[in-house]
Amino acid sequence: MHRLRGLRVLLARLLPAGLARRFGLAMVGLVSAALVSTGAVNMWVTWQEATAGAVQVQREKAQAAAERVAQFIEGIESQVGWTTRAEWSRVSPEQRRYDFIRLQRQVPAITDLQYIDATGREQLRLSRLEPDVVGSGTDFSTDPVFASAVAARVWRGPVYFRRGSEPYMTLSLAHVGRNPGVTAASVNLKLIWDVVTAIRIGRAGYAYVTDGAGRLVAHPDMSLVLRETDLSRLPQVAGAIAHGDATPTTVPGPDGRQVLSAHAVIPQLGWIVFVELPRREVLAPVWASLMQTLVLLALGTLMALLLGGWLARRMVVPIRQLQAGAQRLGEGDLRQRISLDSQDEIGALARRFNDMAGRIQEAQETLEAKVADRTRELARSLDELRLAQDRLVQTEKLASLGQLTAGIAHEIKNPLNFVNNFAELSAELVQELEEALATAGAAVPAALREEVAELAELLRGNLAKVVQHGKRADSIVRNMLAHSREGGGERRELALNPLVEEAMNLAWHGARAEKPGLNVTLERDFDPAVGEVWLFPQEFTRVLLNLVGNAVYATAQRAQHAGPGYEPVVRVSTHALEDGVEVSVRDNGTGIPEAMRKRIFEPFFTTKPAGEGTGLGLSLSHDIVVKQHGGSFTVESQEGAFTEFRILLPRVARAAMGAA
Amino acid sequence: MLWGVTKLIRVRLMAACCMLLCASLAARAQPPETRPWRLAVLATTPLSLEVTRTRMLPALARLGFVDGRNLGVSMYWGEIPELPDRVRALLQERPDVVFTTGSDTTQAVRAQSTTVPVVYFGADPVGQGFAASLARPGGMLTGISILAAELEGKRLDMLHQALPGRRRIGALMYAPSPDRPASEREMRRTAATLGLELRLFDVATREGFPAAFAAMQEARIEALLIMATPQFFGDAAQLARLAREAQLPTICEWASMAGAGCLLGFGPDIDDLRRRAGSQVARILSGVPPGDIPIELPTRYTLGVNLRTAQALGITLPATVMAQADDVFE
Repeated sequence: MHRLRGLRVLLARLLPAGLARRFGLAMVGLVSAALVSTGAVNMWVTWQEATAGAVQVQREKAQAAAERVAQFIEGIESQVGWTTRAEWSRVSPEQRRYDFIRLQRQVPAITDLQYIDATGREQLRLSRLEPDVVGSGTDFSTDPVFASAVAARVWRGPVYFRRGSEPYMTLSLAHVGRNPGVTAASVNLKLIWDVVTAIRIGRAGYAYVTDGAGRLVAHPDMSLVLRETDLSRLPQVAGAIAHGDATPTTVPGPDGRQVLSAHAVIPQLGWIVFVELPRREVLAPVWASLMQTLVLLALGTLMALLLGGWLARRMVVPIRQLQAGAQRLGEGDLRQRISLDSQDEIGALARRFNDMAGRIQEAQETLEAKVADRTRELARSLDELRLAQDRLVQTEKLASLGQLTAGIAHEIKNPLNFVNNFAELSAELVQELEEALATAGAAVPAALREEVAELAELLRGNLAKVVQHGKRADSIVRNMLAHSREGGGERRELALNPLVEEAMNLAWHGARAEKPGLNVTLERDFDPAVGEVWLFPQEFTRVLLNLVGNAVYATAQRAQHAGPGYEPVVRVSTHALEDGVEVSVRDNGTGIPEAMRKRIFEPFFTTKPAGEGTGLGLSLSHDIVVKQHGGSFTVESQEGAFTEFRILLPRVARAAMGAA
Repeated sequence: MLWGVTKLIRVRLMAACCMLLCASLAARAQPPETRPWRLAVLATTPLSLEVTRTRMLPALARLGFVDGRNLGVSMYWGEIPELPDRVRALLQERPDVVFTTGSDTTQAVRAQSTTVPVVYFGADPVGQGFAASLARPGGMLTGISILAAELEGKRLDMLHQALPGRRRIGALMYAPSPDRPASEREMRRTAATLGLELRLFDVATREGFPAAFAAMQEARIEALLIMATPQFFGDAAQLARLAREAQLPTICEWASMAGAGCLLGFGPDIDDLRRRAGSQVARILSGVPPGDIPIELPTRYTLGVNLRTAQALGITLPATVMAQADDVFE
C-alpha cells in the first residue's frame, strides 16, 4: 500500500496531470499491449516449438537408444554366430570348447554357453561360474531354447532374473545346414548398463529399458534393475505396452519427477526403450524466452513511460507557455510574447498569438497617444477659459467700479466747481479789499492797515491753497470721469515705435520736472517689424506715460535704499508677433509683492504715499488696453528685482473694436 | 492497474529466476554435504586394507567423498580372535558406514551392533544370513557377493582342466571361516561330478601351514585348491612358496594371487567389485537406506596364470586354459 502510493507519486512526477498523463498512459498501454501480445504469441510459439522440438528429439533419441540396445544384442548374436557355421557339428569337442572359451572371452556378457546337437541333446556347456559339462546328453529337444531356435533360426528368450536379482536372457541360434544344432548363450543383461549410461539425453535426461511386461531390464541406476523393478504401473510404460507407439508426453518418471517421456520398441526383443528428459530441462528455453519477453516488456514499458512522458512534456510545455502567455496578456501585459521556435501547429498558434498581441499593443498605444493629445488640448482650453473668465470678472469688476467712480465724480464736480469758483472770486475780493484799503490811505490807522494787510495776505494764501487743491480735486474727478468716457477721440492707424518714443520722452521730462535729481537709464528696444497699429493715440499714450512713470518711481524708490552699485534701468521694448504687437515696460525697481499684484488694477489702489498718487492710473490703463483696444494687460514681477508690464495689442483690431 | 501488471511481472520474473536457478543447480552434480563422514574398514589381513585403500577410496573420491577432506577413513584389521576388540574400537568412532571384508568380520560387527550400516564384501551374505535377498537385502546391510563358494567348483574344474591327469586333489581350508561349510559342499559336489579324489586340509592359523603341507605330501596330493578366504589372500605368497616346495600346483581365489606364486588364480574382477562397493558406500553416505540397495554379484571373472610356477613345476598348461587367461605372469 505504501509502495503503491510511492509509485503514484513517482508517476505523478513523471507524468504531470492532464494531457501529459493521458498521453503517457496511452503510450504505456499501447506499448505494453503490443509487447504483452507479441510476448504471449512468442511464448506460445516458443512453447510449441520447444515441446515439439523436444518431442521430436526425444523420439529420435528413443529410436537411437533402441537401436543401440538392439545393436548390443545383435552384436552378441553375431559373435555367437561364429559357432553356428555348418562344419561346427563336425569339429572335435576340444575345438568346440576352445571356440566357446574364445567366445566367452570375446563377449563378457555371455555367462554360459551351451551346444545342443541336432537331436536336442546337450553336448557341451561352459559357464563362468560352474564347472564345464561335456556330453551330458541332457534332452533339450522340446525346450524352446532348442525348438524355437531350430524353427526360427534365432530364439531370444524372455528376461529372467537369476537369484532374483540379475537380469538374464537366453539367446539361442540354430546352426547352418540341415539338421542343425543350436548354440545357446545366457546373456547377463547387466552389461547393457554400459550402453544405457552411454546414451546422453540432454543434461539430466536418461534412458532405460523394460521388457514387454514392463520389468526393468536396464537403467542408469543399476540397483533399480537388480531389485527387479516392475514399471508397468508407470503410465508411459503401461501406455507403451498397451499400444506400442505413442506421442511423447509429460509423465512422472521412475523417480517421481515430471519428465517428457518418449519410447521406442525393439521389435525383435519386444523390449521397450524409454528416453526421458526432465520437464524442467525441456522447458528451459521456454523459461528463457519468458524471461526475455518479461525483460523486454519491462524495458518497453519503462521506455514507453519515459518516451510518453517526454513527448507529453514536449507537447504540454509549449501549450502551457501559450496558456501562460494568454493569461498574462489577459491580465494586461501587452508586451507579452511567446518564444516558441517549433514549426508545428503550436508554433503557428504561438506566432498568431504574438501577431495578435502586437496589434493590440499597437492599437492601445495609438489610443493612449490620442487621449493624451485630447487631454492636453482640453487642459489648455480649460486654462484659456479660466483666464478669460478671470479677465472677464476683473473687467466687469473694474467696469462697475469705473461707473461708480464716474457717478461719484459727476456728483462731486458741481460742488467742487462752486468751491473753486468762489475761492478764485474770494481771492479777487481780497485784492479789491487791499486796493480799497490803499485808497483809504491815512484814514485808516497804520496799525490797522498793517493788521488788515497781514490778514489779507493770509487769506490770499489760504485761498491759493483752496484753489490749488481744488484743481487737484478737479483733476481727480476728471480722471474718474474718464472711466465712463468710452471711445473718446479717434482711432487710427499709426506707427507704434515713434508713439512709444514720444511717450517715453514725455514721461522722462515729466519725471525730471518733478524730481530734478532723478537718475535713471531709459533703454529702448524697438522691433522695426512692428509697423503700424490701429489704436487710440491719446489713450494709449496715457497708458505708456502711466507705466513709464510708475517704472521710474519704482527705481527711484529702490535707489533710496539700495547701495551705490545700483543702476536704475527702465527698458521699453516692442515686439512684432504673429497676430499682434507686444509692448513691454520693465524696470529693475522694488517690484510688486505677490499679495498686491492681484489688486493693482483696482481703482484707488496705490502703493504710493497719500497725496502722491490717485490710485487710478493702472485702473485706467487696464480699461484702455483691454476695453478700448481689445488687448491684454499682464504683469510679472519679483520683489526687489524687477517688474514688467506687458501689453498685447491685436493687429487686426476692427473686429475687437466692433465687439467692444 | 499498472501497478497490478508490474506486480504480476515481478512475481513471474522472480518465479522465472528461481526456476532458472533451480535448473542450473540441478544440472550440476549434486555435491555431497561437506560434513565429515566417517568410514570404518575392518579386515582380517592388512593386504585387504591395502586393496581397499588403492581400489575403493579412489572410487569414493570420484563420487565426491574424499578421504581427509569430507571423509574420515579408519582401518582396522585383526585375526579372528582379535576381531571383537577391533569392532569395539571401531564402533566408538561412531562410523557412518562400516566396510567389512569377509563373513567373519561382518559377524563380528553384527555381534556388537545391528544398527550400524555395513557394506559387506564377501562370499555370500544371503547364505550367511546377513541379508534377506540379493535384490532387497533389508536391514542395515548391503554389499558385494563374490560367490566364493560357487566358484570353488569352477576353480576345481579349472584345476582339473589345467592338470587333467592329476586326480588326487587337496583343498586347503580355513577352519574358522564361516564360509567353510558352503565351500566344502561345493568342492565335494564338483569333485564328485568330475570324478576326482578330494581331501581337505584344515588350518586355523598361519602357523598350521607347514603341518598342512606336510600332511598333503604325506597324502600324495597331486594338486591343491586353496579355499577362497581373505586369510589365504593375505598369506598368498607364503602359501605359494610352501606349495612350490611341496611341488604342488595350486589354484587360488583371485587372479592376482597367481602373481604371488600360485599356478592359477581364478575369481571375480576385484578392482571392479571394489569400485562397486565404493559406490554403495557413497549411496549410504548420501542417505539411501542400506537395505534398499541391492547386493551386487560379479560380472567379470579373470584367470591369472603364473608361467614361472608352471615352469618350476614342469607343467605345460593346455591351450584351453591359456585361452582363458587374462593375466599371465612370466
